Amino acid sequence: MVTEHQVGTGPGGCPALSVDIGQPGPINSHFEAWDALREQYPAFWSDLYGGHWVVTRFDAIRHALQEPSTFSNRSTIVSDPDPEYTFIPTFLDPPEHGKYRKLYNARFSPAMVTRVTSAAREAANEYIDAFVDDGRCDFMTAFADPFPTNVFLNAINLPTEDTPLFVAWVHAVFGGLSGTDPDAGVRAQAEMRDYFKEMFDRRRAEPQDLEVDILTYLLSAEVDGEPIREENLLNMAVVLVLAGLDTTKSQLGYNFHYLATHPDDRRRIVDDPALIPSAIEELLRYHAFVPPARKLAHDVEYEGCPMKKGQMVLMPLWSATRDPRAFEDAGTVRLDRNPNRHIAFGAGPHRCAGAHLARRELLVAMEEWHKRIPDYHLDTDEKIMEHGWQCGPDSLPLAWP
Amino acid sequence: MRIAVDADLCSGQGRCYSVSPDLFTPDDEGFVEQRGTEFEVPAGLEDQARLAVASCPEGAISLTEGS
Repeated sequence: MVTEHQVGTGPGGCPALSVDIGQPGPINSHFEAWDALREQYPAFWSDLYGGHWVVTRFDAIRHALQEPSTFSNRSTIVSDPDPEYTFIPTFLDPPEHGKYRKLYNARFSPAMVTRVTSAAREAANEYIDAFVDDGRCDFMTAFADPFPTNVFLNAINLPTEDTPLFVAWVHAVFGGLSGTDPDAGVRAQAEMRDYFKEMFDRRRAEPQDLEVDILTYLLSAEVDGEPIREENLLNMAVVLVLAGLDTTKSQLGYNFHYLATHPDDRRRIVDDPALIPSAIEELLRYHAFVPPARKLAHDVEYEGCPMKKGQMVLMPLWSATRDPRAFEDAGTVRLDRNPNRHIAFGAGPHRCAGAHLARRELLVAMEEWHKRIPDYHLDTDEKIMEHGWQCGPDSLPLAWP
Repeated sequence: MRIAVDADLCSGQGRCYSVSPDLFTPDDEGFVEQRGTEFEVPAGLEDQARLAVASCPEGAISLTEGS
């Protein structure tokens, strides 16, 4: 849960708070806590994780994400302004960033997404087949973990039989980041690198169709007129996995928690599946669980605070997407909200490269699930919990008649 | 009515061609093909134009009313 301790005075007389977004809490509690913080403080200094700035409102968060010359990606980890490692392309700024990022755009385009949709529908139904007759499941383990992983592996042309491997690696890495077992996270990253090293070797020996096979494509790609070196290839592959899997899992968890606990809205999408695309946008807006950070490239006065070169700035996207200045009735889910200019996929040059694929995974999941299991409810009297940082439910027991 | 897509602000979020498919189309990279252009909104598509402006997460699309 977000806990707020004594308000003191930070740099330049700005408010100083201890707001810990790394703690677990009841589902949606992080978002709700920031609904209050945002109204009190457009920006504040946090003395946790080495000390950093926090910006809370839609316009300021979006503008910062669009201005990498001030708000740099040299680090995006708030507790580590000077990482000894680099995530490619995550930690790169323009113009270097664009050289790598453009390699991904066409690979995750709407056309590619259309190509993998029928396989995604089959995969969704296979997972549902496994538990539908039980009348219950843990949604996270039985569906939210494996389904997007399977679709992702198919989309980049890796064997979908490896789904359980990737699920376990992603659990270990994000568990490590939230402090559960950092060593397991480090081991998982090393195992992933070994996996991709072997896969790249196989593709070198036996290249696949460039149009569908991302590893063959990356091997053939050039940056500044040179092939990408092995170290960077492995880095990019691991970043792709870390960016693409934990996120879609958590979003599915939030969506199905919302629908399990709001039967009227659930009936609306069952009765009118054409509502699902706008429902997806709204559920993304309401539960924008990614908290990006940026590093100041130079001194700047921002949201009334004197921010200094080298300091970190945390910008929880949920604080932007639930800002009543930007969204009417921001604290309420309106499945037919239109327009909906949320930034759950971020904004600016680092906007989620997999957004089109993620949206399609959510669409397929929500369409196929509700054809098979239109009525369901929480299968527990315990409060559903979410972890902190990149928030998400760890367990979501559902049951149906 | 004229509509313009700012090439620097557009990040390829893709909302414009999803909500206003008669006005905007995706390119091979998922950006809007009309990125960096300004053009006259065809008669009858004014509502799609306004919806695209209001739906762009980047604030990259702008309208000039009149004419």
